[in-house]
Amino acid sequence: MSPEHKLLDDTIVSRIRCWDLTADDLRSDELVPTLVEAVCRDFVLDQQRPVLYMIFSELMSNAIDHGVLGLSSALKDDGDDGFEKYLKAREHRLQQLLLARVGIVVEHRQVDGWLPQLRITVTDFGAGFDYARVAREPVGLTTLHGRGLAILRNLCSSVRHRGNGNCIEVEFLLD
Amino acid sequence: MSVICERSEDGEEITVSVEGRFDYRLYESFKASYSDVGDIGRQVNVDLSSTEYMDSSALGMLLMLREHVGRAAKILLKNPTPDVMRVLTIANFDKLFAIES
Repeated sequence: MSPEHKLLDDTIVSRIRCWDLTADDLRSDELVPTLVEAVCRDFVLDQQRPVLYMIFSELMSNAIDHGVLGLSSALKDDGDDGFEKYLKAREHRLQQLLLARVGIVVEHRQVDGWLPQLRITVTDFGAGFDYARVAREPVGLTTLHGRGLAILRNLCSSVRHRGNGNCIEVEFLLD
Repeated sequence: MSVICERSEDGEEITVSVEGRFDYRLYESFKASYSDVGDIGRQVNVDLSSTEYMDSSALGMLLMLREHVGRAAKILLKNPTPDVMRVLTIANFDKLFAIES
């Protein structure tokens, strides 16, 4: 038996919570706090709340801005008012949005001999992106874009893209 | 969530306090809080002691403040909570800004 299979066999998923978000959910300013509160309640977490908040903020803004709305982050660095243009375009597209779907799965996983972890998978059904290329791009210290994924990589023990980049799976150790 | 802006009596310092969630929804009010800094103040304090969470757009807003102020004034990030400090460190902002705990 290969180590991968053994790992799979030893993984216990003790709880799963799924969300299927609609256009109205995505428009809500309370989306991230609502998700974080629900995860903290369902998985009995408290001290991880601030870090989970940051993780969910980045996951949801990636899924909504790029996956659903098709916005390019490079717009943020387009001239002096790039960030403002980006936020206005985001607001406009979000208000126009009729049909959209974002799926979230949160699993509490325990692998033998390891700390329990939370696996969060977000699927946006958008066009995806070339994640291998983005991973190779250096993040400028003072540019306004490209920071979200770097934050995720630092806060999570693992960050993986799936499909054509429209699905992201992160794992977060619960110690 | 809110932004509170206070000016010292001598007008040299501006303190911007961000309470609750520091994210893209605060863009307008955060920008307005420092819009006249270049003309009057010498130092901008960003009080993060009541900031619960911060996302990457908040980091972007701090960079815009830095850009706006330029060499005209000093920026000091004050009293971030450990979780907010963690995000600032991940983004290497401890190298771009003076941080006082």
